[in-house]
Amino acid sequence: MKKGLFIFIVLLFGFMLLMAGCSGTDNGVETDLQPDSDKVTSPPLPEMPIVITDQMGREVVIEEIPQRIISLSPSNTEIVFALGLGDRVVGVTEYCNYPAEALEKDIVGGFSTPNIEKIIELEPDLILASTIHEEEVPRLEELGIPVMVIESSTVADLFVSIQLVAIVADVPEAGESLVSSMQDRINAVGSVVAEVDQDEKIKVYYEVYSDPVMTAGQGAFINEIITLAGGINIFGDINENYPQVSAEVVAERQPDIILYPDYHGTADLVLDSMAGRPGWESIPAIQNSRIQAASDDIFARPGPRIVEAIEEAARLFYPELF
Amino acid sequence: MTGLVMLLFLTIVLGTMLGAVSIGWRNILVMLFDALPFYSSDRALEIAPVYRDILLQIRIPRVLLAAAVGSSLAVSGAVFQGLFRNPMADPYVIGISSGAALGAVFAMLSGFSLSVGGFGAVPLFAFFGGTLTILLVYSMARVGRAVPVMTLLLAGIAISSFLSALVSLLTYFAGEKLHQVIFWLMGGLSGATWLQVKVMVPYALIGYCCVSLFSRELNAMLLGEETASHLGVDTEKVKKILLAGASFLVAAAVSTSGIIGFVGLVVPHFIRLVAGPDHRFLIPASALLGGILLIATDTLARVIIAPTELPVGIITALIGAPMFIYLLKKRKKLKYFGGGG
Repeated sequence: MKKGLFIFIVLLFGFMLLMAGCSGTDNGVETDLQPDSDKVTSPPLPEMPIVITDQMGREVVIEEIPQRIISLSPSNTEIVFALGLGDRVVGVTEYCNYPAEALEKDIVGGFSTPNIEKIIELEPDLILASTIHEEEVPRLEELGIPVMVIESSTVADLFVSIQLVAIVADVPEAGESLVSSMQDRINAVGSVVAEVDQDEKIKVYYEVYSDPVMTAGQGAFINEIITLAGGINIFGDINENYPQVSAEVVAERQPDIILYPDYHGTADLVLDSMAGRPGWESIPAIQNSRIQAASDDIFARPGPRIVEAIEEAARLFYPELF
Repeated sequence: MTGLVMLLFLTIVLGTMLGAVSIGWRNILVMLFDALPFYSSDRALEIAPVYRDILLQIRIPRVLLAAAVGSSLAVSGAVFQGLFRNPMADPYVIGISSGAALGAVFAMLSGFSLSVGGFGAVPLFAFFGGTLTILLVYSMARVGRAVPVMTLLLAGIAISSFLSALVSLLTYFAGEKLHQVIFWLMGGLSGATWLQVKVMVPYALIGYCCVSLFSRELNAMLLGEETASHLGVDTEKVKKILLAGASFLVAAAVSTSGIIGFVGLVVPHFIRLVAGPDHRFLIPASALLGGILLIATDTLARVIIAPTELPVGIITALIGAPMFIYLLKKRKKLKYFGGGG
């Protein structure tokens, strides 16, 4: 029927994702990319104009190879730079702090509050948006600017997103090599932690937020990072992205290690509060002081640095193996 | 009244027994007896220590905090409704919540890490924000020695709007602390600790005594201030004390658990519908029912889709509102504020 890829992802949206890029539940991605397959096959390269259907079910028509790209989320920015397209980026959000070159680009607003006027002024020929930009996307489209919504809730999605951006920007090889190098690093971690017996695996509690106690459930990217790093997310059974959970259950499930996102400058506060949390005295992670800060930018952004998050998590889980 | 006391006891027991983790009532009894200073049981040693922690450090403080907060909100709601002779009045009517919210949000965004007596910056700022707001509203509404109730209400609404706008402004610029702000504003009891209970319960008792001593005068005030002063009530003094007591209760509740709506508005009406507007009964009964309602709804919030917790405010309104509507339909004739009210 249509040329190109069909991607349907239904996203449940939470404001928790303000900084994190987003994650969501995934209704199956029609793709032959699997994170556990060693060989990466790229989708067939279509001729210009490229027509793709993105996550908002919109057809995106790319007439020419984009030279002036605006990214509306930190994870999109990281993808574009990782593909070596940094020179073509003309605008980013105020939260796009990686790589360092991104800080020199014009800022078009916050993540959830991009400024349309500022965007138009930069005369982009491609905008990489996110599902949070539901309001802005149609307005930008009316103005004749192609907008592509990039949204990954799993590593497999992320690989597809990277390939898509690479194809649209006419650098398919860069996309393939980035994906395969990421896949290699994930496999490398996987082969090391594969030695750990299933019942020896470390039980991980990831505290997204302290009051109320909030964690990462099945739908969250964090859950996949923990799993790929050889850990067991104690709340991997909850079919939500960021459920609020009972402090009682955290105590009952006896995690061996606690991770929490290090938002700038909050690390010490969290650490203090965690150690003295009433009712958690018998948790092994607390008794053995295994409470670790995870860099939120790396752990929560569905971008190329996700492999760093997986490596970092594996090192924290099994320091004796790395 | 005896029925309510029994019911409160029952909800405390149920709230202690039910939770995301099932402990078993036998084990709970064993551990409770074992926790008493003059009795220790060998059976308690067989229970994994984690269950003791869960019961004594997480669940029981939360149930007790729910009782104290629910009571405080219901009592202050009853007082404000009586004082303003306005059925729409709730604990937050004259801006305590906006003041507390401004204090709390300010503390979150400025990242103060001070702590006094084990309390962090957020509850402290919330408490002072709430109390300062009341003082401000009071001094704005004062005309000479008198404080007209209507002026007080309007000054409260004006200041409350202004402070809410400031809260919105700060929220807009909250960036990555946005979720912290939103959760605080939604309110909840999930962070309950013994420390909060130890502070909140005395506060609730002081505020309650302060208010309940003047329930007779409050009855007189329902007939209008002029009538009340003919009956020998020093209306200005009574207003001042009742305002102070009720505000004290609300500020304490808000600073420990954020802004929990509905309880303070509806519980007093509930009691009025059933037992009439006499404050000598209304105030203690509101205290009991407020505690019961908040323990019950918080317990539901904890167990309904365990291990996930729901925000308690959602449950409170979902369950309380239909019950209240049912009661309204059943009682065609309302006697709200005595006299012709």
